Amino acid sequence: MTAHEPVIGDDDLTIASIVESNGQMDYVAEVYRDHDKATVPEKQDYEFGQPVYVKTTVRGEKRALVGVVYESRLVNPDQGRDGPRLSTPDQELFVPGYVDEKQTLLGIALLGFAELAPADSGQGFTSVSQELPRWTLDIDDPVSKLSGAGFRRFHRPDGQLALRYYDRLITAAERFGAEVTLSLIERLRAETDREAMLDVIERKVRWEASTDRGVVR
Amino acid sequence: MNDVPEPPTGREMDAASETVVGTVAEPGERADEFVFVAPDAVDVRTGEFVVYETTVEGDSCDVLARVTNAEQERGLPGEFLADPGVESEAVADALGVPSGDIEIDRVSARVVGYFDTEMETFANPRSLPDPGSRVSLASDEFLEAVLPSADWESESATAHVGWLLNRETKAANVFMPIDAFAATHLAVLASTGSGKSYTASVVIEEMLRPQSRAAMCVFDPHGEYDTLDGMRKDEHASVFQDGAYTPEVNVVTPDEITVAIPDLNYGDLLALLDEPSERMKELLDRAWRDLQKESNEIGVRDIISKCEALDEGDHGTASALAWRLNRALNRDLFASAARNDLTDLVAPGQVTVLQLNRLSEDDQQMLAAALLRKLYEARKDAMRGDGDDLDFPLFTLLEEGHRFAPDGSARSLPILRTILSEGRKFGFGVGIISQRPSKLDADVLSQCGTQIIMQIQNPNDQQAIRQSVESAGEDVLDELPGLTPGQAVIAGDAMNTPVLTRIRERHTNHGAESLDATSEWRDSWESWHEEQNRGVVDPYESDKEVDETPL
Repeated sequence: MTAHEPVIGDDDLTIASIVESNGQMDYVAEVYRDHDKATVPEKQDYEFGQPVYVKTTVRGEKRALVGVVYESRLVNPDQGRDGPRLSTPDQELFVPGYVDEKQTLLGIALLGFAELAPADSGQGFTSVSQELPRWTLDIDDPVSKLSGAGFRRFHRPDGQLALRYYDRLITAAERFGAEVTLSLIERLRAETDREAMLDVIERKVRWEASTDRGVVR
Repeated sequence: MNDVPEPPTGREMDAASETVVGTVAEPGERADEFVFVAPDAVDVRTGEFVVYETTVEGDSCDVLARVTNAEQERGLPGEFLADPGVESEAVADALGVPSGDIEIDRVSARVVGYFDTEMETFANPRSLPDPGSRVSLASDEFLEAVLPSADWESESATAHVGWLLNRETKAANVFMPIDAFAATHLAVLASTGSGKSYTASVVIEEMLRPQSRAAMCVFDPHGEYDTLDGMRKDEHASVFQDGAYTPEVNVVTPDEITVAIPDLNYGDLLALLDEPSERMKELLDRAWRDLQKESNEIGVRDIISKCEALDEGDHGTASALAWRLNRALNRDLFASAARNDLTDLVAPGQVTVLQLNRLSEDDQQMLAAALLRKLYEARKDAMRGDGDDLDFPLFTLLEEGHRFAPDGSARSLPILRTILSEGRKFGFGVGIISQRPSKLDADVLSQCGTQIIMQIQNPNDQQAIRQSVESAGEDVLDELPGLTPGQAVIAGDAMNTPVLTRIRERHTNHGAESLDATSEWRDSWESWHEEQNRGVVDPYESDKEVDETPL
C-alpha cells in the first residue's frame, strides 16, 4: 500500500451532512433521505462503527477529516400528534407543517485527519495523523463512507498499526466508547493481517469497559 | 596495578556534582527520611549518596543523604503486558500512550547530615528538605574526602581499600584512616567465599606501605597469607618500597612455631592436662609458681622435678602429674626457653604470618593465648617505661576469629577480651576476621570499632551483627545479602557513615583461591590409575616370561 493509493473515490457514497456539533471532535450529521440525493444510503451504510470522512479545505490544502459513527438518534416531530389527519397517505404534503421532518441523526467522532493527494481516479492519503483535528467542519459538509483502503491507510500513519485516538474516542463516545473501539478493532481485523497486538488492545478495552461499568471489580 | 591514588588533602570542595537526579516530593516514612522523584533515565541505586541544599542557622549548607530504596512510581499498565509475544512498548505506541522516558522512580533517601568542619563529622540538620528542592548526586571528590573519618591535614596514613560501589569503576576512592581502625580494632565479617582474607590482605598491604610501615602479626590457621611475600618483589617496588624501606614478610611455618613453656600461665598448663585431680592441681600450682620465680627457662623435666620435690609423701600425685605433663608437653611444639626477644617476631614495617595450619584447634588457641599475652604484657611494659621490647604499636590479625574468640570459652578468649577492651590505650590493635559472626563472642564483636562487612546471608549471622555492631543500621544490614564477592560495607569508627565499597585488587597474589575440585579429582584419578596399572605393567617390562595362568 503506497501513500498515493487512491483511498477516496469520486463516487464514494455520501451518507449524511453535518448539522450540529457538540464540540471539537463530536459532530452531529443528518442522514440523507429520499429526495435529498440521487442515491440515498441504506441502513448498513451508516451503521454503528462505520468509518467516515469529510473533506475540507484549510489554507488552500485539501484534507480529509476521518471519523466514526458512534451514536445515532431518531427524530420524530410527529410523536405525540397521533390525532386524525387531514391527509391521506398519498398526500404527505398536506401533513401539518407541510414538510416531513422525521430524521436520523448520527453522532460522528473525529479520529484524525490526512492530507489529500491526487491519485488515479481518486485521491490518496498523505501525512496521516491520528491527532485531534484542529479545524472545524462546516454545517452541510457532506459525510462519506470511508473505503476499506482508506481505513487501513488511516490506521498505519507511520507504517505501524496505531489507534492513538483511543482515549479521546472513549471520552467522546461516553457510553459506547468501548463498543465503538471494539467495532473498529473488528474492522481492522478484517482489513489487516491478524495482529496479536489487536488482541492485546481488545483485551485491554474489554477489561477497562468491564471495570468502568462495575462488572468486574 | 601500580596506580596508587593520592588521598585528599582537605575537605574544601563542592558537595554536589553537576548531575541533578530529582526533586524532593515529600517526607518519608521515618523522621530522617524523604522521598524524591527521579526520571527513569537517571540511575539512582540503593546506597548512592545524594546532596540537597538547605539552610542551617542562617547558613546555606549541603546535606548528604543515602538512598535507601528506589521503586518505580509509574509504568505501563498490566494489560499492555498481557501477551509476551507482543512488545508492551509497541502496544503503548499504538494507543498513543507515551512510554520509555516517561517512567519515573520514587526514591527514598535517609539524611546523613551536613559536614561540620569543626566536629569533622556529619551533623544532623534536624530538618528535611522542602518539597521541590533539587537533589543532586554527591560529587566523587567530596565523598572521597568526607566519608573517611580521617584528619587529612595531619600526616596520618590512610589505607586505600577500594572504590565507592555505586560510582563508575575507580571514580571515587575509599580510604580508611589507619590510626582509627588500628587503635579501635577491626572486624572483617563475611560468609565464606566473599573475600574476607582477600580484603584482610588488602588492609595488610596498605598498612605495610611506606606511609604507615605497621608492625603486624597474623594468625593464619589456613596458611593463606604467605603470598604477601610478593610485596617485596621489584614489580611492586613503586607501591611498597621507599628509599631503604621494603616491607619485611616473616612467614613462620608450622615447623618453626613453638610455644615457650614459661610463657604459659597456670590456667594454660592446667587446660593441657587430662582431668587432673584437685591434689594434682594444687601441687602443680605451687610448683609452677616456684619455677616462674626461679628461671626463665622451664622444661617439662623441670616441672616434673619440681613437683616431685614438693610432693612430700608417696610421690603418687607427682608421678600421676608427670605422666600427664609428659603427655601434654613432650612435643616439638613446646620449647623450654622463654621467648626473650619479641622484636624477632614483630617489628615496624614487618608482617609476621604465623601459619597454624598443622596445629590442632586447641593448640592454635593456646599458642594465640600465650603469644598475645606475651605481646600485650610487653606493650604494657613499654608504655609504662618498664621495658623497651615493643616500643611501637602493634596490630594483630586473627583469621578465623571464631576459633580464637568463640562464643563460649576458649583459652585465647580472656586475653582477647582484655586486649580488645584495653588495648587501645597500649597501642595494641586487633583485627578479627570471621565468617560466622554469630559464633563470635558478642563482647569481642562489639569491641571492634570498625567493621568491613561483606555478603552475609545467614540470618543468625545478620542478627549477631545487628546486636553487636552499633554503626550497622538497618539500611546497611539490608544490603548484606545482595552484595557480591569483593563488595563490602565499611562502617564504624573509621568512617563517618557506612559506605558501600568495591574492594580494590590486591597487589600481591591471592593465596586462598577455592580448590578446583573437578580438576583435582581428574588429576588424582590419573595418578591413582597410573599407580594401579604400574603394578600390572611392571612384570611385562622385564624380559622374564610371565605366568599367564588365570588366578
